[in-house]
Amino acid sequence: MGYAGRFYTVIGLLVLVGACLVWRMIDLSIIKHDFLIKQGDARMHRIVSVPAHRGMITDRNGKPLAVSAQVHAVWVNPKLVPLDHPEFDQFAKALGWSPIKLRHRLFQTKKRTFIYLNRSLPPKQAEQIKNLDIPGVYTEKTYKRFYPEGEVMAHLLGSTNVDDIGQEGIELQFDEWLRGVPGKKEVIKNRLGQVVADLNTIRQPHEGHDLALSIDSRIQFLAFRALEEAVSQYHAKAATLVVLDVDNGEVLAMANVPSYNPNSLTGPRDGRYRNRAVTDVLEPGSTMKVFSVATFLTSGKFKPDTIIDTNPGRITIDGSTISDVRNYGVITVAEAIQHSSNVAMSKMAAVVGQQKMSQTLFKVGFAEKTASGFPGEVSGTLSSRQRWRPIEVATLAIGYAMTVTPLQLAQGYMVLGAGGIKRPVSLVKNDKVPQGERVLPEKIAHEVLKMLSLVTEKAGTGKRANVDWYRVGGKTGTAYIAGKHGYDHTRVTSSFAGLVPMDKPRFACVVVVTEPQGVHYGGLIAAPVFAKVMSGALRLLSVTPDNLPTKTEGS
Amino acid sequence: MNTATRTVSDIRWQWALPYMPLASRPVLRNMLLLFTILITSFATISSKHISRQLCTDLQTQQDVSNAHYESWTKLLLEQGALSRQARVEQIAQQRLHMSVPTTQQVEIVKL
Repeated sequence: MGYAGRFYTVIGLLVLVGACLVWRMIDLSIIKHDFLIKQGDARMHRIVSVPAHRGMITDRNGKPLAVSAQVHAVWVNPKLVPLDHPEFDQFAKALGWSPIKLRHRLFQTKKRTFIYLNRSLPPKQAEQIKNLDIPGVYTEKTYKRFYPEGEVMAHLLGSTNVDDIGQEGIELQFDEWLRGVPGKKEVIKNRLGQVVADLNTIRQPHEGHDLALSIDSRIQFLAFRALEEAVSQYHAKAATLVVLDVDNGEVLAMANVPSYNPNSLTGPRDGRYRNRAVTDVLEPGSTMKVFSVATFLTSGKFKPDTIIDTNPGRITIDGSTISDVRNYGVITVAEAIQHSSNVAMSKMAAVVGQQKMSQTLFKVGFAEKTASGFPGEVSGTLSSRQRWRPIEVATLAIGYAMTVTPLQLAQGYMVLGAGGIKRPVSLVKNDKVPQGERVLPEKIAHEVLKMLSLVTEKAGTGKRANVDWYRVGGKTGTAYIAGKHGYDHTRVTSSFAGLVPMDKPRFACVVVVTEPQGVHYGGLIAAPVFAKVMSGALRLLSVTPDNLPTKTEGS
Repeated sequence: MNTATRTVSDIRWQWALPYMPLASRPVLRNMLLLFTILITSFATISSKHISRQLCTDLQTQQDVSNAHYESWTKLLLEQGALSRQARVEQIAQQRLHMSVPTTQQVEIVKL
């Protein structure tokens, strides 16, 4: 080959190489363009979630009652986990399982590729597991709800499920408000897994809102402990207490016994999970007599000093006998409340009639759900039919023939305490006093209050409810529980409903003890619980005493 | 004269380009433009780099903030557990021998 030949060969080769390069450029940037972009995105492009926390629930003073804290979920791919890994036993130990059980579980599920072993492992143990570095074992961050006050407020707060979604109680009622919705964003990650660029926010995260309840955890604790004592002392089946703030309708305490530990829901699924203050009804008995009397006074046919003959201490209507504990003889309306005279109530009810009594009860808020909005709340019953037999009218006057929840009862007393104004009951702290609605004339409410304070005086049935330095007004109730064959005289609910201090009522409180053993009078069981809780509450909220002992010594 | 109109008027003497000395004005300006392009492209690279760095920093800070939030809730829970009414009462009564004064023990001072 001559010089020219070699020259053109080299030139030709160079051109060929150049052409190859140009072709490759075209190939990469035009023909395979989409494919390469896709591959690049698949390696670098990630959609990551932006965490949002569930809001905290606090009491009225800001004390945390329900907090979401970080835990770790441990999941495995059973196909990848070597059962003979040298660290296997340690892995089981960190999980809190026995190695045999864990092996068994993994063997059982070996066909699957994803199982959760624990969805709420404390960070420390999760760290241990991560450090063991066993193939097929993964951890991820999740949240779990914790309730520092434990069983004291379990019923009220309710619970959330493993996905942090409200299932019961306040957690369910205010789920929308509390719930945090995690956001999503598109990012580019480098090969080390670090985010190098924020491309696009697909969904903004929504942080859950905090919620301040109207509950005062100190009063709540007093209430819970007092109920626990009463239940264990009288071997009662259950007990419930509600404290309302008369001034604005806030629920200051709502406690139930038996209770459960909300931080580990492993107990038996029995009645202990019910918030009895709103889900259970009782035939209230004598505690309702104040509303009957309010009706009698409103009708204008009776005055507090109207005289009623209760001789001989019993009355027979339609063949059924209603009797008093003993024969009180001739008494005034005020004394009828003080002694809780069934006979006097029945006689007055016959004069006033059922319609007016039902009217008052409906207006005060019975047979209707309260404004609390608590999930599972019941309305209680009060028949709205037109025709009532005389005996039914009499039983209504003494608090039978209808059912109420403890919260409704407390609400009724709150109406009396507020001078006849009904304000909506609230489980959430109010910023301002809600608008009330007048349901009873003020004069009547004051007259009834005056009678109520007689009950706790020496001659009354509720003197065990007294609190030093304060004038207490309240009414005891002992109601038989209806069984299969009419009222069962061995099963009773003992209740006390009252207001304090009587000068200007601040608290309305209802105590209900279900099926106490041994003693049967409401005054003996429920009233001391009332006194215990109220004396604490009055002290804690610095309510001015209205009944200080008069001292003679000068200063 | 603004840049656009100047460029348009430049076209008129474009035919004379081969006859002009090397260091004449259009060449200088082209060099200047070339340098500007080089400088801005380097600036782009460096700002891209800074942006990535800042993004990583942001990520780190967010992680730190999250970690703080976590430890805050943990502390909150711890505080909640330690200040449980039952516990406070127990300590007050048993360890500190405190009790709520009875009404007999309280002297009321009238102002």
